Amino acid sequence: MELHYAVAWIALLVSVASLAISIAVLFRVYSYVRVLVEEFGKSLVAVKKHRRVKRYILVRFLCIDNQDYNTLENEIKNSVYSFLGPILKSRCSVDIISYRPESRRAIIRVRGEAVCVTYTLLALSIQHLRKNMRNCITIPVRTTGLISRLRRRYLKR
Amino acid sequence: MIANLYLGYTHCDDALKYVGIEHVDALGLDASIIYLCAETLQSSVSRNIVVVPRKIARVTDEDFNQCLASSRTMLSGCEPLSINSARRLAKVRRVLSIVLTPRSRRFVDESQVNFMVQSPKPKYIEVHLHPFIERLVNERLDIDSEKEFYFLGNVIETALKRDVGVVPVSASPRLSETLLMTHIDIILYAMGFSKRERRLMIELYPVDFIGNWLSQQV
Repeated sequence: MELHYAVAWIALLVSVASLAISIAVLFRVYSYVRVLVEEFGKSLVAVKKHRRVKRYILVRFLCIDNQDYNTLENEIKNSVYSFLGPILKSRCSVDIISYRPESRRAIIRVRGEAVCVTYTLLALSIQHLRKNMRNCITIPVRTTGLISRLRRRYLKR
Repeated sequence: MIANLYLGYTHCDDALKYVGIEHVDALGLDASIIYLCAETLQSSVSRNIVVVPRKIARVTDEDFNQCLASSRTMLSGCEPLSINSARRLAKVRRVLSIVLTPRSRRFVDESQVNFMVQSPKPKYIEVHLHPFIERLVNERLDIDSEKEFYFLGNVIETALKRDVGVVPVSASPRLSETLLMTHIDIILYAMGFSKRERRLMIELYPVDFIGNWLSQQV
């Protein structure tokens, strides 16, 4: 009988110990699984950390002086970048890709995060209020993702 | 119908050039400018434009009636510069606008003054955007622009929720610093307002304001 009691006690102790070990391991396994899901799960769902967009903005200039393409491009880029600041400059790229001096229209390409487009539009809209940049008023006419959609308005006289 | 209800121009030429640049249907000019260049405007503009005579006046406890004096002949905008005058303005039984500028923003506070709910006649919040943007772009470090824009956004949002008219205007002193309606639309977009809200502010409320003011004359 004593042997039976001893075996029963040993079995009880072993089962309690195994239960404790499994609980301890469970938390560790759970943390491993969570890390794995974070590492691979997001890429499986195809959500990129940095989504890069490209937008074309058709703008019209109302300038006091007649300026050539290079001067205007530098002025506009400087102005926009000075508004965006160095941190956003690392994430947003602004280029004047086409300019028609006779109609004073240009197409500006913005590449980067989605917020770049909003900030560039805002910078273009308020840049003429800065005291040392009062040459040109820029009027954004249309923003689109396809340059072909701007053709008609761009070529308009 | 797009309306820029206040251009703070002091020269007739600026107003003429503005009409050439921007296709607005209604335009608010200081009454003194309109008297000076009414004929020139009429002869040089080929399309139909409603030109509204405006008077923007600061309101303090001492000269409270100055803003109201000509509210029947001009579309008045009152800029309260004290909390008492703001409270008195809210109780006035006339159609007028409460001008929101960086100077008056502390007093256009719905939690202290019931412009929006208890006013006997509809009051419009007229947002002068030029002073706000001017302070932002000229980088004066002593001005907390974030706080100003946060407050501005809150006032507009509260007003829109309560269906109180918000009329954003450029209020630029000269043409080289002017904010066109496209610029105003982009500023409101960057502040987070939806297309519907922007259409309300740019197209509907200004017309409603003019309509209410004209119906008051009858």
